[in-house]
Amino acid sequence: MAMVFVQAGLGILTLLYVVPVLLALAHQTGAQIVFALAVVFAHTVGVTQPSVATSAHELHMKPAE
Amino acid sequence: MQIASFHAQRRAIGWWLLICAAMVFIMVVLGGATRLTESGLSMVDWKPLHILPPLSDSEWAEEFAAYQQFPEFQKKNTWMSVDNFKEIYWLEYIHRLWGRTIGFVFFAPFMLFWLRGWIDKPLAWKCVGLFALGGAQGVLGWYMVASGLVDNPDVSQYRLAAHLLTAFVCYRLIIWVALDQFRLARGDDMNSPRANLGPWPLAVTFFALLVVTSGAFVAGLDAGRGYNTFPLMDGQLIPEGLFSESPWWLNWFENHMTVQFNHRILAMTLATLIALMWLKSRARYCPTPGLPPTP
Repeated sequence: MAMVFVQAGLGILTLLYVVPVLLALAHQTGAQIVFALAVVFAHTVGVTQPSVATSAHELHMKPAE
Repeated sequence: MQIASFHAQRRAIGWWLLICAAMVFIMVVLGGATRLTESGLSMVDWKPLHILPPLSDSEWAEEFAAYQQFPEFQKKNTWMSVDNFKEIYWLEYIHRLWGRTIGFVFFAPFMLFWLRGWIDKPLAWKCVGLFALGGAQGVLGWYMVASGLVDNPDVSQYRLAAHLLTAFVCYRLIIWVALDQFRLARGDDMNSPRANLGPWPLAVTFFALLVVTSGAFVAGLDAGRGYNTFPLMDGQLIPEGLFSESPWWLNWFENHMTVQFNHRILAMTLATLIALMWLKSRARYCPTPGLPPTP
């Protein structure tokens, strides 16, 4: 959640300072971080898609010690 | 040699994929830097198998001569010497080189894991898909650059948005498949997530892709260079002229004001959605002390 505020702040600053390279790049990098966090969050607490639902038993592999 | 257990295999594959995701992360930063420094049109041809940069003075002269044939030099950078040219060349060169490196770091361990029988069929297909998507991203990148080599020395904002969106989709899928591996390694049941917030978290990731794409249109049109006030635009909360071009839907992709306005609105909506989801998950899983957790 904090990262979302950081990202919004970076976006507004980028705009106010008329797109300096470093701020604009930081804003894009912020997007990449927020997005990764959202994906991890969705994977952890969201419903899983059936296509991903492969359990260890279904894999045709021999677990070896 | 000791044979790795099933769980150790999953962890190894998971880490390998996360490393690839981190490399994609760096790739997107490099791509953004290439765009912002206007370096992207310095390499005017696409030779995927030609890896070395120009090394000698004569090779540089040749590369610079090729650049001089195209509109970015002829209409904008006529003042450039070969030394200035070298400055805009290296970022595009590194961007392309890093792309190939990702391909290699993805492919070589994949073959290793696959030959050892660590990768089952569904996972193998996902990897093949990811590899194909990565390759397509290279082609799309060149297709984008090609749009900046005719008449107008600016790449198409549509192709730029497609190139960025594909990068984010790739990034998302790699992270997802990696997390699947870690979940298998922990022995979690794949069908029951640790906590269930319904489809919202997944929906938020899709909405985020929309916001990213709208941001790509802002970048593609340099639409962030106007209306540099917040929250007002042109002195108003909702500026006049959002639909000044016709047909009306063209404004979403071509009108600087509308494109920037959309990015603002979509981003604020996304931030609100994330805040709501955060509050909901806190209420459900971190209940106030003394109260029983809600189911």
